[in-house]
Amino acid sequence: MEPDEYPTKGEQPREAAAGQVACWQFNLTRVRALLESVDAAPRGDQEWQPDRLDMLLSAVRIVDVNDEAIRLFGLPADRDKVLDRPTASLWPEQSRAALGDLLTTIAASVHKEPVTREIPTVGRLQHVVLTGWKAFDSRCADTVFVSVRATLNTPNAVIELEASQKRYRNLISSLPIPVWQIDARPAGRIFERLRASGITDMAAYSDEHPEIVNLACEIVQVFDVNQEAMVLFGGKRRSEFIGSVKYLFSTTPGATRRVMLAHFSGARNHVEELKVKTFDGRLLDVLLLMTFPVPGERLDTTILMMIDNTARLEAEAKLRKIEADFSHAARLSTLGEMTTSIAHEIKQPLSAILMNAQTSLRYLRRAEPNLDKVDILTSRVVESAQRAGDIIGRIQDMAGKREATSTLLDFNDVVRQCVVFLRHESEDKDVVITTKLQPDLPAVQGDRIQLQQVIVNLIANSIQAMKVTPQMQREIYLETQLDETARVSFSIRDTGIGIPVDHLDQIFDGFFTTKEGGLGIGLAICQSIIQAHGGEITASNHPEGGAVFSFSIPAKSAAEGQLQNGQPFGLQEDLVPRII
Amino acid sequence: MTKVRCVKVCELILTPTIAVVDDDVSICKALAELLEVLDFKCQTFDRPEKFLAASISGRFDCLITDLNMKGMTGLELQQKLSAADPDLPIIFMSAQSAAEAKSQALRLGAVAFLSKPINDDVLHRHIISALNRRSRPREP
Repeated sequence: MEPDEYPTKGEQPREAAAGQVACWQFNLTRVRALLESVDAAPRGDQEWQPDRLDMLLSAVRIVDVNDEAIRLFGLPADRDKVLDRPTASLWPEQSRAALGDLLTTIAASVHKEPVTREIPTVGRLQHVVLTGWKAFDSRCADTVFVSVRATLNTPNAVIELEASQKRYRNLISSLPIPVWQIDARPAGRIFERLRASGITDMAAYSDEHPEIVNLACEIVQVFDVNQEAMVLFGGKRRSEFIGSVKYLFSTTPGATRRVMLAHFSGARNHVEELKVKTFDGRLLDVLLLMTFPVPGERLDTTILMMIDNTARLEAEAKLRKIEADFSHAARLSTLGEMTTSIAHEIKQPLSAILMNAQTSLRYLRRAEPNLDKVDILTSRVVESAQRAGDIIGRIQDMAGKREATSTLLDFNDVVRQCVVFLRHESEDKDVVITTKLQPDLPAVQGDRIQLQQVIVNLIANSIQAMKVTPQMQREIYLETQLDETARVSFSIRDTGIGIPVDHLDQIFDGFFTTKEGGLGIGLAICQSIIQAHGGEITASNHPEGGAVFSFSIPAKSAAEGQLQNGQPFGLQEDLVPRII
Repeated sequence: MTKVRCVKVCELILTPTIAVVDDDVSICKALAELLEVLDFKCQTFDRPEKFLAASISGRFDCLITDLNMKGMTGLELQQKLSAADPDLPIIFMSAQSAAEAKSQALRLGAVAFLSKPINDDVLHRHIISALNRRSRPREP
């Protein structure tokens, strides 16, 4: 609508601003022909013929309405659904004749004086006075304004409430989230009675009377669902969804009870992760959000929403698996590089076992077997076998696939065990490892194997970097300390060739390697492990030569450690099987 | 004193003394027991340096040493002994398949180079041949 075309449009807001007067603006262009044809309107006592009235009002277009008209006539709040529509579709049935008459009279009149019609009742409106007039600007001869004055026979509040309920229904049905509307009052009434009889601890009561959970589930009813809910559950008809809420909770053990306890406690909201089985047999992971009504609101409506997390959880699980696979590949690669020293390490106890067993046999086969000797030797066989088992166990831990588990760790102990793990490897390569571990470090929270994987990887890298370093100068310095930001830090320095400056930026990137046959995932995995522990890892070159790698991770305060474990470190250490 | 020395000499003649050097204590102990049941006398050292300190020419009839040890390898020990006690027969043990070290050890006169784990009969045979070599006068 161009302003030039309807310059009179400016008149309408004036009316609207005048107060509680509903105002309509019509365009009669399309009815002009109809009106000018023979006796368009009935004369005198003649009744309107319904067909003619329909034709007339269908041809009259609505140009504009004010807010009061929207409110009084219950028109759609969205003006686009009103403007340029046929009047027939929006004007109340009871007063159509009066409007048709009014418009016909105005159209036929050469004057611009207002014309009025009175109607006793139109819906909620009483003493309705329609006042219509032609636009003053003669360029807009087909524009007619109609103002409506009336008294309401319904209190304003009722209209507002109806409007509000309509809005609410629209909101729920068009929400892009699955919504169930539930009447939980029957359960509420049971709760009231229980409270009245002095029950305050519903958890204990429901333990004693488990049947109450089923009962509550049975009597709480779904009375409406929106389209999204039907899509989520793969239902065809709304009726499938109406009834007991049982089908929502049956797949998650204990969910009904938790929801009931939340309801009993007077909680406003209840949120939990749920597994639900849909009507077409799919199993979904959803987030359940329930809002219980509180007094002052409509108590018959508890809103239940579900957010489908299945895809997100699946993606997360896949990602975790990929991470675990990479981490595993890196550990295998590190182990692969150490095969020689691992074999050496296992052969030692095996040799002792074999020798002791052979010696025992010799004592046993004597004419007079020396059982005392056999006793001692057999005990040593047991000891060595245990040792061999431990070594294999450590390797299996490193080689096996496993889920990360977070425990409280003595960080120095983690480092020491790595040095033990690599002892043969370092001795083999004539590398001297010097450790400077700050005593009384606070505990760290993390996964032992993962942290050891990082440290072992860094040490193994350093050993490798010193291949060309003269034998007497192959040294590794390990240091732990509490840094100035109260984090536990680890650093390793070697006397190897250092890191080429142009590699420093990419050294932690995946598949970056300078090693022949290297996968290039070792350091990338180190970085992701340290990041997962809330820390960071850096690489640099030492001014006196060689590479320096350091990382730091947050320390746990002594109090936190006590809380989580219930016992001090030394004791806990004995309970945890030694892995490396 | 004289009496004591006399007893020692007798013992030396009757039962040869074998030195064992390995930084793995469990191996040292196991070898000591095996040598005992084979009727040898034995003394064990967990560090080659300790052995060198205790070693006087003629005190031991045979040396059984590990190849890989902290501080000093078996080959280095062999080199040092070639000056201090050139006649001492040496049997090497190794948990690694060290072909290069093996050929070097044998070239420098080692009696045998055995891979761990070691078979008792094989070891016994090599000790006997080592002791025979010891008792045989050196070629001029």
